[in-house]
Amino acid sequence: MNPFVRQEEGLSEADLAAVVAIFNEVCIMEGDGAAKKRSLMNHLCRLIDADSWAWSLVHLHLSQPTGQVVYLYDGMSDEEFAWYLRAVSAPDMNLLLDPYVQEIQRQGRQITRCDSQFITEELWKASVIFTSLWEKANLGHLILTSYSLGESGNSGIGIYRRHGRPAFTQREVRIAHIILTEVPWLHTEGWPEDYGEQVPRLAAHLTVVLNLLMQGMRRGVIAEHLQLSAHTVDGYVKEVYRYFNVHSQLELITRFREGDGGDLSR
Amino acid sequence: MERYQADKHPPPLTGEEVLTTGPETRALVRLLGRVSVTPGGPDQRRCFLFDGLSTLFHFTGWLWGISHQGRSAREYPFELLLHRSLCDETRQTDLPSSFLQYTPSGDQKAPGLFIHQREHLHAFYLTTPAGQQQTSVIGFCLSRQRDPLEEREVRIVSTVLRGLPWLHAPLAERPPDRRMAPRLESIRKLLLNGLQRKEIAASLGLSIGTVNGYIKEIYQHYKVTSRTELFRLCSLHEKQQPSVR
Repeated sequence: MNPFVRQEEGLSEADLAAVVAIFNEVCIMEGDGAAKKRSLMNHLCRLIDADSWAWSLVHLHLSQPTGQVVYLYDGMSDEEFAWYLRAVSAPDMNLLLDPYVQEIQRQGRQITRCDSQFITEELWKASVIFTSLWEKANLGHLILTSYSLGESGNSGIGIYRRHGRPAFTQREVRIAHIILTEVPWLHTEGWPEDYGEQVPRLAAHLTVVLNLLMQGMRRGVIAEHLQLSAHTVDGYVKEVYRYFNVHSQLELITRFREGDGGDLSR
Repeated sequence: MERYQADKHPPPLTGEEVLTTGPETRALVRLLGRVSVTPGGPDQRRCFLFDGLSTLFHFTGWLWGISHQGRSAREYPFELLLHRSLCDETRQTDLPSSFLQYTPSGDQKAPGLFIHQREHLHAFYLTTPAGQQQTSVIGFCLSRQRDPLEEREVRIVSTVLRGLPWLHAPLAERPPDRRMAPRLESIRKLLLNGLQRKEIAASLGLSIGTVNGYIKEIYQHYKVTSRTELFRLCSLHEKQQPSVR
């Protein structure tokens, strides 16, 4: 049934050399943890010929909306990113992800799966998400990994190919899995201290707005990408601010990047 | 040179042939991931990497140094920069002296892999060009009880070491004004690793008198009068190597 369950996790000499070359770059580069993470992910995407990735804090529940805050991403334009957020927050996504979430719960450890491992192509291509959102986000085949952070949720990384490109091969999934599994700082570093409190239980449309605000987007741009009126976006932004008890976008971003942003402890 | 079996760059394996086992792959990626975020300078990272490779492949010691081409034997062409013994049952001083003594000869210009198996020493060395007239030498020493090296293991280790050019780039990071002659640097390293004078002499194949003379020069260079003072001074100026686990 599942062709990848018993994957041998060895590498060829050429692949080992390519993996070592990635770590050589990450090792000698200047920069903080986030910069190293971005570099490692971009190099990994180059090695397995992927086009974009996103790293998020997620709450995965069977048949429930996914609470998700994207901390870092690359390879998508602002507009594609907005469509991506709408796709992952869409109610249909839960149904598509259920087999993946079930396997995470059953295995109780980190797993990495490509799309064909938890969803049939017919089901996927027939879904509203695929036809209405995924294509607009210019996304196609994907690899997902999920690392448990305990009560706080999961560190989730998605790696994507553009729309219409071929599926990931077994070798590419294997390389992604090994790196995403054996480099724990990809998942454990870079969170604010109180991130466990922060996985928002927001409605899907507010989660999308939250994530766009987090990337520093202006309200006008958000309205444009979501094809909403400025007035509607203003209302959503107000709701998000109220939920987190902040009064500006800067305060919101600080809150997520550095924990309470200093506004609670003083 | 006849005791070194020169096995220049082996041709890369072709096709999809799998080189590493699953557990090895995982351990290697874990190690490389940790090395990439190890705090401190390149020497801390080197120690971390060499220790990790030694654990993974059951090596009992490692060394890293620079061979200076064009220098005669009298000018000490080989400069030992880092080394460690990892045998549980033996002490630091028991790194086989011929391992420490290894000095690629001056005409040894070509990079390559050298496997050295003798009755009392199994080791292999990877030499890599490291700037003008300099060759970086990384060596791993094997326990005599251990099974001989498989070609596969040598390929894995050399693929890792060749893929990390920063490992071999030696001297730019060291301020030139504090540099002493290579042989004095080697002896300073051994002193700081706690070897006794006679042990240093045995390791390097020198007489006690010669070693005493060198140590006096080192003390003069640093303007100290005892090893303790040297220790304090050097640990103030250099980040110390992480200690053996």
